[in-house]
Amino acid sequence: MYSWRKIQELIYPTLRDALIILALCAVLACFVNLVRPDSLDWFAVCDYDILVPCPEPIGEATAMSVEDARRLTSDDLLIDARLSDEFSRWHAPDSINIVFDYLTPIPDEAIRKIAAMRAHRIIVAGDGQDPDSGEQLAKEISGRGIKNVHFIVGGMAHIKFANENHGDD
Amino acid sequence: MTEVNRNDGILAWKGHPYVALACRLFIGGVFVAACIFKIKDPEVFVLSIATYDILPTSLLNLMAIILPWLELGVGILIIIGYKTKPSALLIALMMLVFMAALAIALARGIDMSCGCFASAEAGEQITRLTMLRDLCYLLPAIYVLIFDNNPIGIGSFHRAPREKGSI
Repeated sequence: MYSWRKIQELIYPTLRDALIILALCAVLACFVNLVRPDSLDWFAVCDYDILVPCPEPIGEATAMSVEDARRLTSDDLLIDARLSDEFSRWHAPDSINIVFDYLTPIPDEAIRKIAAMRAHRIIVAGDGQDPDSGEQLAKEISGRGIKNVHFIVGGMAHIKFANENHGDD
Repeated sequence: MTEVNRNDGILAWKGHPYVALACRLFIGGVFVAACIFKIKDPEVFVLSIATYDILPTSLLNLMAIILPWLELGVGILIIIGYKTKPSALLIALMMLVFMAALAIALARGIDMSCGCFASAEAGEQITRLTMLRDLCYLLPAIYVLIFDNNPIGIGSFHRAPREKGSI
């Protein structure tokens, strides 16, 4: 076995040479950065804008027409994926608002709330645009373990239109 | 000499320099290949570092400036066999830091490219396999650091006069 003295004799030159290599590489790097036309500032002064891919909805959700949505029962849960102010202006009776955010996953609390309601079917309606926030939210909810999730094609705009033309029956 | 061999045990095996040479060419090649895009596009590489969200903003640029040249320096040195152990030490330390950063990013669930060989847009997403890959770079470096006492390369020419002088 090596004695402690011999270990020191082996380690110290290696550490010293490593520090010298580090210093020389740093000097070379700084020199190159100094002379290159597109040099970086030595110290960043503000945060970089980082683009991180959005979380992909991973579950399966079935498309549902507005006519099917008009036959909801009390065992079904209607989720409105639109923004809060749109929800407050108008929303379907007995619907709850879970705002879909393309960058932020649904909070665990919201998933627990959905699961606790023990609805027969989960029907999600969003802004009806392309991509539809309702469809995205439905797939994300399904991907988080909730079964029997559907989304309404056309979103809340179609439900509102159907309600206005057929009455709130 | 016999005494030394008995004391050193596995360290005295004569095959170490040849196994270490293969390890050195492998990790040296990896490090030289890894630094090319970083030296070419430091403004892209700095975004890769920033995505990890570990370093303070003020240090991001300095890291993006120095790290690629350090990778190039140790990559070349370990390939040619000069200052092999210090280079292997620096590579091992860098790999440990990279693996720690990867582990933090994976634990946070950040969906990103590791930025090791290509820009964030072109690189593959980090997974546990990326950690395993980095481990495959770390282990040869540790092997060289511990067992390559007589490295084949420029270092052996450098050592020869000193050994003659000591006789």
